[in-house]
Amino acid sequence: MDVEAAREDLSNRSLATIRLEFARLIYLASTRDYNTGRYYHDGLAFKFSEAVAAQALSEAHRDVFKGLALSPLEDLVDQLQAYIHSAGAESNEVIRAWEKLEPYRVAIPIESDPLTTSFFLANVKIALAIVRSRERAGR
Amino acid sequence: MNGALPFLADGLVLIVLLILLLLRERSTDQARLESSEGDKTLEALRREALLQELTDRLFGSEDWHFIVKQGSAPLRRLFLQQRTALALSWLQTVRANARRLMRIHRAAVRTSPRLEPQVELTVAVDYLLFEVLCQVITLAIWLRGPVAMGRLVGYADDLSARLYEVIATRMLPPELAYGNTKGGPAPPGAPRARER
Repeated sequence: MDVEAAREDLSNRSLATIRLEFARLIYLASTRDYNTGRYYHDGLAFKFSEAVAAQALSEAHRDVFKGLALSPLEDLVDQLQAYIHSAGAESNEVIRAWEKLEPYRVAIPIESDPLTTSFFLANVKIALAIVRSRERAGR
Repeated sequence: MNGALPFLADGLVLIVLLILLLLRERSTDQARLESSEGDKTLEALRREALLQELTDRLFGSEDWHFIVKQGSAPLRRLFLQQRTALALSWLQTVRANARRLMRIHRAAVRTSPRLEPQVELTVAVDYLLFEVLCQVITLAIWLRGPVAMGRLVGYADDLSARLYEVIATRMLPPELAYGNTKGGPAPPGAPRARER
């Protein structure tokens, strides 16, 4: 029950200000400690408890990831393109960095099954290639 | 006719393997194995239910139509390369789950006081058909990619569901059998509202 309330709070406050699903995924992944895999959110932990906040963040992360991973490729491309444009840097620079470093790998929830993970990674790779060709055509 | 020979050979090998496995002696640590296999299967079946959406997307044609609209040969190649690898991984997962289910079934049969030959025959035939179909799907994926293979995959899915139903309703403990617990894991390929 507490977790549900915490999730609602998260949706109504932090996530409500983030328009793109892809940006939500990156945001939720960024609330997770790289070393331990634990989620932290000061505001939520203060209002509920650290454990409840972590659970709410973990569930929200899993849901956003699942939604994106299983969305039609066309939607993912649109999401990714909008996210890259919102990154505040030259699009080509962002695309090149994403293709080389694959930073989106850290956005995957720890409990995600291997096939869904592979599907997401493959789709992002394809989506990046499409965004790159669109950017070239637009120049 | 010549083209069917490899499949027939595969089928025969599978029949022999199945018979050998059914006749194998019960090992001393079987109870421990059964329990751990049961847990693994439960987990695998939970995942299987989650993977259903992925299966529909992977073998559907919506993404492919989008790629074709881009009008780029390198993009089409990249897409087919990625999806072929994924489709083969999917097949591996589904086959591993079916094998696990059969291991549980065999373990249960060995200790069962009443054997039903008709059920055993159904299970053996279904498993054989499932394996042959998986080989056909593998070949088709290698030859033409995974796009628009929904119907073939649907057959394999239905077969594995039938296999599950026969085994689960008769052999598995209640907590593993679908339908005995509300909200329990759905069998792989259970009837779903989807278009193929």
